[in-house]
Amino acid sequence: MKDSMEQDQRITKELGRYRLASPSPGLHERVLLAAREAWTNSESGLHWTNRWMQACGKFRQEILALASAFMLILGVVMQLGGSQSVLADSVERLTVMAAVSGSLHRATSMDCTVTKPGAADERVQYRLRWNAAGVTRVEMTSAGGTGQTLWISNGTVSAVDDERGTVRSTSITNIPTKWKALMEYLTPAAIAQHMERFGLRQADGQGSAQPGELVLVGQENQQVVEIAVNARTALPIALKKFLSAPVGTGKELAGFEEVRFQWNKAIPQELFIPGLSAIK
Amino acid sequence: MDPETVANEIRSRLAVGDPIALEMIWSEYASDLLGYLSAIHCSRIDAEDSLQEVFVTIAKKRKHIAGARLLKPYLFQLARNVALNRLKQNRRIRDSVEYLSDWLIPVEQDPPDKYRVQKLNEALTELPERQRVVIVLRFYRDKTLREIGTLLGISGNTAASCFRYGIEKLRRAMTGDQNERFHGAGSAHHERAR
Repeated sequence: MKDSMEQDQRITKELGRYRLASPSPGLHERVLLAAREAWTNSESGLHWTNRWMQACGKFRQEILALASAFMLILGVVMQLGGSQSVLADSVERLTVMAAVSGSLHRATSMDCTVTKPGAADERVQYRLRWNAAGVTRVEMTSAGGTGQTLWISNGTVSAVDDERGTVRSTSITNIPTKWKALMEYLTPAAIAQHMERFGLRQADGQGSAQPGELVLVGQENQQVVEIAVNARTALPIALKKFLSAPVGTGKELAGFEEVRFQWNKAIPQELFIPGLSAIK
Repeated sequence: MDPETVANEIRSRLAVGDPIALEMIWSEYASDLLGYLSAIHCSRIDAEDSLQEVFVTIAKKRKHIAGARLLKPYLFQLARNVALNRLKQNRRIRDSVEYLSDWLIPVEQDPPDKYRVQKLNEALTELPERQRVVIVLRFYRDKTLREIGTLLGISGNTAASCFRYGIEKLRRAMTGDQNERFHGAGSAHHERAR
C-alpha cells in the first residue's frame, strides 16, 4: 500500500516534468479569421435560407411528395442495377475531397511552381505566392529567360510598367490569355473548387507514393490528374496532369503539366506589394 | 470580472450578433479548449485544427449557443464532438502515417531519465480518453476534479475515479506490469488501431 502510494507520488512528480506544447504562432489570427468568415457567410446564408423557405412554403407538400417518389425510384434503380459499389465509390470521393478541401481552406500561405508547355515546345514556369490577406504574386519565367510579375488581389491585376517604372492596375477580366490558364491555382480556395471537378479518389496502387504521402487520381477532360497529398496535413504536395494514352497501347503517359506546392511557410510581406520588389 | 458575468456577456453578444463575442470566447476559453483537444487527439496539430473548427461552429450556430445554460461545459461538449468527428474522418487518410507525439513536451531540455520520460508519455497516450483528459486538465490546466466534472458533464466523484484509475494505470505501466491491458475503448492507441 505504502509502496503504491510512493509510486503514485513519483508518477505525479514525473507528470510535472511535462507541459502542454505551446500553440503555433498565428493560431489566434488563423482561428478568428476563419470564425469571422463563417460568421459573415452564415449571415448571408441565413437570408438565402429564409427566402428559399418562404418560396417553397406554399408547395411544401408537393415537394415532399416529389422527393419521396424520387427516393423510391432511386432505391428501385439501385436495387436492380446493383449500384452499391457506385455509392461506396462516391462516399470515398466525398471523404477524400472533404479532407483535402478543408485543409486548403485553412491554409495561411501558399508557394507553388507551375510548369506548363509554352509555344514551340518550350516549358514555361510560373511561381505563384499567395498570402492570407488575399494577394497573389505571379511570376512567369520562359525558357528564354524573360520574366514578368503580376499581383492579383480582389479582382484587380497590377503590373509594373518597365519604361515608366509605375504600377498599372486593371480588372482581372482584361488579363492576357497566357495568364488565364493559371486562374485555377490563384488561391487555395480556387484550387479546392477546381479539385472538386476532378472526382478524386485514392489510387489503387500507392507504389509511386513517398512515405507519408497518399496518391489521389482523377480526371479532367481528356487528362489524367494525379495528386500527391501529405497524409498528415491533407495538403497537396504535387499535382500532375497527363494526356491519356490510347487504350491498349501500353504506352507510358506523357508528362504535360506539373505543379509543386509548399504550404504555410513564412513569405516576406514586401513581395505582395506591387512594384516594391518587382525583380525577385 | 467573474466567470459567470463573462459567460453572460458572451451569451448576450452572441444573441445580438456581435462578433466581439468570438474574441471574448478566445480570451476566456481557448487555452482550456486547446488543452482538452490536445488530450483527446494526442496531437497538437490536430488539436489546433479542431479548435478552429470549434470556433467556426460557434460562429455558425451563435444563436443556438447564446441559449446554452452552462456556456463553458457546452463549448467543451462541442469541442469533443468536433474532435471525435475529426478522428473518424482522418482515420482513412492517416492509416499509413506513423504517429508522432508533439502535444506533450518535457519541461527540461535534457531530462535525466529519457527512457522513463518517454515511457510515461506513451503510457499517458495509451490511457482511455476520459482518464487521459481528466489527468491532463488536472495537471496541465490546474482544474479541480469538481471543475473537471462540470466541464465534462460528469459528477465530481466520477472525475475523481477517472483520475485515480488513470494514475493507477500509469503506475502499472511504469512498473512494467504487463498483465494489465489498458488499450481500452477511447484510448488514442485504440482509436488509431480501429
